[in-house]
Amino acid sequence: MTEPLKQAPRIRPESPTRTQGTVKIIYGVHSLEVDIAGRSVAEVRDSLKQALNIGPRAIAIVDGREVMESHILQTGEILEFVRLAGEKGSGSLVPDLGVSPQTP
Amino acid sequence: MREIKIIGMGGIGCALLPFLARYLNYGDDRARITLIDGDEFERGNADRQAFGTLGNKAKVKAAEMAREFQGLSFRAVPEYITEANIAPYILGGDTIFLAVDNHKTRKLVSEYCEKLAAVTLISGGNDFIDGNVQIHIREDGQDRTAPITRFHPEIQSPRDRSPAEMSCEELMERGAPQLLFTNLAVASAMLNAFYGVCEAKLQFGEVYLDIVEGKSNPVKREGERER
Repeated sequence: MTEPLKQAPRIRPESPTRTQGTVKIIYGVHSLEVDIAGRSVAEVRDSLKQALNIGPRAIAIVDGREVMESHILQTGEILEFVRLAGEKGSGSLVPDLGVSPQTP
Repeated sequence: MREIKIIGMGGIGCALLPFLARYLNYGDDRARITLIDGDEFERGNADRQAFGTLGNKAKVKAAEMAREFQGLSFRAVPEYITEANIAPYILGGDTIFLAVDNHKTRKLVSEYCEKLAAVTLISGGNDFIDGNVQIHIREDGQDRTAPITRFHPEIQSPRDRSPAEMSCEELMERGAPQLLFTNLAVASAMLNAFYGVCEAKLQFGEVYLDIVEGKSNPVKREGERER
């Protein structure tokens, strides 16, 4: 499992007053199920933005429909943050793989 | 006759073309493949792109494919797609493989396709080890899957430029590190999507992939349904 996904359980709600329930979260190839029902999309984005490197322009979609940041997640919903499209030329996502990348 | 357009003959376009041509060459339908790219092949591209000779990528590759696949018709358009020249190259009923390296061209092609009654647009792109493929299908004037700009603000409001807007110096310097294997993975995902469309079994509008994690993740969104 990658580091980002290891960190994901940290977003479990701490307040006992919140609704308990699982929401599936998708970001690019990553998907995980966490107990975050009752939280808003904005809260989840803020919690996961570093762990999954979610871009600020990434649109939020719940069950296939674009939603506002204030949307409160319900048990069983699927939340997707749409990962930006791959673009040769961005250069910013070149990872350190311990090898020298090819030059074009 | 089935009309296929491939826009961009770089790492992804080069990877998908021979497999697409072989599939079509031995299929039941007659097909014509139009290759569109204003770029020149240079020796420095040889680590990811297979061209037999130097020259315009569309012309060189069309000639190579015509020799190998005599059951198909090939046409080369040695130009970058622009607002001024797009009209004759993208027509209703076309299947378009969009394999370019900039969002400006993706937006241009997508918005043009949105005006057509019927079209299939399969767009792929990648960074170093990951990428995505989007499929926009229009039938009878209706979107069956979302336009590629719909959930992607980076395409809807591109911050980059098309190669047609760049100087020769900028074109020489624009390359970022690319990995042949990621190009191949994206090309394969584009062909898989094409097969799904041909067989009316496509289950998603976008798929993400990462070659190091060995993952791909197809997603279906609002209004997208099996066809």
